[in-house]
Amino acid sequence: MTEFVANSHSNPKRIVIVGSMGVYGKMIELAEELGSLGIPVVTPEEESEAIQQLSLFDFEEFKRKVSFSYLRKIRDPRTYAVLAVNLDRHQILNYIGPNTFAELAVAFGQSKKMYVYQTIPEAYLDELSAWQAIELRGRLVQLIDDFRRDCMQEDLQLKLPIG
Amino acid sequence: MIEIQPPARLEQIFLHFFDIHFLEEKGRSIAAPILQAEMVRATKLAVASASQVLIPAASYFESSICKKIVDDLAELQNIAAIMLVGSAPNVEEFIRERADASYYGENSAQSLAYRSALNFDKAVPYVRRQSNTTADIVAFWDGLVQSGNFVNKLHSPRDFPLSKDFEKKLELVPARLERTAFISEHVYPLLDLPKDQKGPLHWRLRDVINDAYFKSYLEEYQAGIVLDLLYLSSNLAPLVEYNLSYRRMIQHVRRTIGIETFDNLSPMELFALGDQLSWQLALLQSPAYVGGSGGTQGPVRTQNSERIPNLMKKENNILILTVSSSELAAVTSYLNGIFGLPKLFSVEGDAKTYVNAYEDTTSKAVWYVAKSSFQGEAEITAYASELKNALSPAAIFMIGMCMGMPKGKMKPGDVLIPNEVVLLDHERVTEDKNEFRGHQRPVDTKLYKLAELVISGMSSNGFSVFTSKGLASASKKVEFQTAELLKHIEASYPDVLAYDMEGAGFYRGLKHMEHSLWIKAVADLGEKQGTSTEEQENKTSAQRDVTENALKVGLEIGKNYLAMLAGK
Repeated sequence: MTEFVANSHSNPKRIVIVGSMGVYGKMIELAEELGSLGIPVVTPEEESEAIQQLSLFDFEEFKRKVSFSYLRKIRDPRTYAVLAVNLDRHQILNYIGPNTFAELAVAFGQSKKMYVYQTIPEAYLDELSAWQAIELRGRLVQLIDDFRRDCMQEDLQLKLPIG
Repeated sequence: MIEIQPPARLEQIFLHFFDIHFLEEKGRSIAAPILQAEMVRATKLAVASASQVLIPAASYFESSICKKIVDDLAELQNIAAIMLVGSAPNVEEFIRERADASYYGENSAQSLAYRSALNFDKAVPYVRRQSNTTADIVAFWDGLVQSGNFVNKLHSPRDFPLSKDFEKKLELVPARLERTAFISEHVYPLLDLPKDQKGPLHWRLRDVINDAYFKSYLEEYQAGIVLDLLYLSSNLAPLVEYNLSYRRMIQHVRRTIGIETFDNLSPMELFALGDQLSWQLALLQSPAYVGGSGGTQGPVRTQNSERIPNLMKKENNILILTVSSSELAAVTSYLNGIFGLPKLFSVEGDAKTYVNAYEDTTSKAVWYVAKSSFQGEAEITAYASELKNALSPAAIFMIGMCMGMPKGKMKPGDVLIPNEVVLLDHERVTEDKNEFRGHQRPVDTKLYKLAELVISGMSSNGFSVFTSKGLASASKKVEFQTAELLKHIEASYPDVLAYDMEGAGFYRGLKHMEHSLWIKAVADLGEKQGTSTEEQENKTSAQRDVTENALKVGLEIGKNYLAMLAGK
C-alpha cells in the first residue's frame, strides 16, 4: 500500500469541513475517514453542556464568537480546501444553507478549493459553478486524490520486514 | 382568516427522533453527549407542552437511549402522559411479532433486541394503532410512483445517472418485499444499489421510507412534532398547525427558569409547566421552523409563523392604536356592537403582541385594535413602528382621549384632528427656570386632507370636530390647569387646542407617513383628578364616552379611505 505524508511538517495543510449541526454525525464520519488517511481535518466543535447553561444573551455572544472563529480557520493559510457537507434538507436536494454558503464564499475569497459532498444545489448553481466548486457525489475519492497530489508526497522510505 | 386558539397545551406530540433508522442516520454523533442532551431536553419539552407524548413502541425496544429517557420519566406513565404506540394488540404481542426471525431478519440488531425483550415485565402505557404502518408506507410509496415525480425526489440532474429501468424497479418494490419489513436495507437490493458503498440515492430512499413511516403516525393521531432541533434536525415536515419549536422553547426556558432548573425538574413538575399560562403563551408565540437551526443552516418558515395571513396585508385594513385601558374598552365595546366579536391574532417579530381583528362583512375591511402597554412618546414611537412593519395596514389611527387646553374652545367630548403637532419633551433646566423647547411639525398628509373633507360632510353627533388646529404633546401627565407647561403652550402656540402624551411619538414612529392619523376627543381640561371611587368611576365612564366620539369619526374617515383605495 502506498503511504503519503505531509509535504511540510511545520505547516501541514488541512481540510476545513462546513455544514449545519444537523449533519454533525456525517461531518465527524468524514473527518475520521480523511484522518485515517493522514489528512488533517478541522470540524466544528460540538457544544459542551456548559454552553447550554448560558443565559440567552451569553449564548448568542458565544455563537457569534464561534462563527467568527470558524471563518478565521477557513481563511487560515494552512487551509487547503473547504468541504461542505450538503446533505438533503428542507425537502431540497443537496441543500446548502445561508451560513454554509457564506463560509464557501469566504473560502472562495481566499482562493481556497471548495468541495461539496453531494452535488451543487440548483439554488447556487451559477455561483458555485463559476467559483469552480467540485462535486463529490457522496465519495471522497477526488478530494483525497487532489489533497495527496497538492499537499502530500509518497513516503519513499522502505518499510523493512521485522526479523 | 386564521384564528388562533386561546393558550392551551398542545394535544399530542409524536417524538420521531427516537426512531432507530433516524438515529442511524446521525452516525457517530449519536454517542455525543450534546446530542443525547438534546434528545432528553426535547422529550422533556414535549412532556411539558403536550397532553400526551407518543413514542413508537419500536423505538422504545430498539433504542437503548429512548428506553432510558422514557424510563426516567416513568412517573408520567401513571397519568398516560407518555404512550407507546404500536400495531399489535398489546405490548407482549408487539415484542413477539418482531422477535420472529422472518420480520427483521435472523441476525439483525432489531431481532436480537426483541428476543431479549421477551421477558419484558414493565407496564408501559401502550396504545394499539388503528392504521397499519406498512400499508401506509406502501400507499405513500405507490402515491409517489403514480405522481411521476418520485425519481426527481431521489435524483438531481448532476448526480450519477440512473439505470433505464430504475423507475420500473421503484414501482415493483412493495410487491417484491412481500412480508419483509419495509425498511431501507431491504429496499436497496431490490433497486440493485450497492450495499457497501452508500451514497445520496441510498440516503434519499431512506428518507422517503422514514417520512412515510412518521407520517403514518402523524396522520392517525393528528399529532405535532418537535421542530428546530439542532443535532437531531430532519427533513420531516409537520402535518398539523401547532408544533413544538425546540429552539424557541429552550430560549423561553433560558429566559424564565433557567436550563439547570429545567433539567432537574421531576417528571410531574415538568408536566405541570405546561399548565402555566406563560408556558402556553410561549408555545403560541413561538413560530416553528422546519429543519435545523443554528450552526451553518438557516431556518425556513412554516405556515405556523404566518399568523397574519398575507391577504390581511392588502389595502383593506386599518389599525387602531390605543394607549389606556379606558380607550381600549371603549373601542372594543363599540366595535363588538357593530361588527360582532373579534378574532385574536398573534403578531410576531419585534412587536410581539396580540391584536383583535374585526371584519366588516359588508366592505370586507378589517379593523385591527392594539393597545400599547405604556404611555409616553418613546413607547408609542417604537410600538407604532413595529406594528406598522408587522401588519402593513392601509392606515393607522391613534384613537382615544386627550386634554383640552383650559383656555381653548374645545369642550369635553369634542374631537380634534390636528394639522400640526408640537413635541415638548425637550426642556432646558437651569437654576432660574425651565425652558421648554418645542419641536413643531405639520401633519399635512393626504389622509389628513381626506379627513377634513369627510368631516365637513358628517352630520352632527352631539359633539364638534376640530381640524386646522394644533396638538401639543409631551411625556408628562398634567393634572393642574396652571402648570408651567400649559402656560408655555398657551403663550407660544395659540393654535394648539389640546394636549396628550403620545401624539408626537405616534407620528414620529410612523415617520409622518401618508396614512397615519391621530384622532382624539377631549376628556378633561386639565382639572385636578378626583380620588374617590365615585369620581374615578365617573372619570372612567367619561373617558370611554369621549373615546367613542373619536372612534366614530375615525370609522367614518376609515370607511371613506378604504372605499377610495378599493376604487383605484
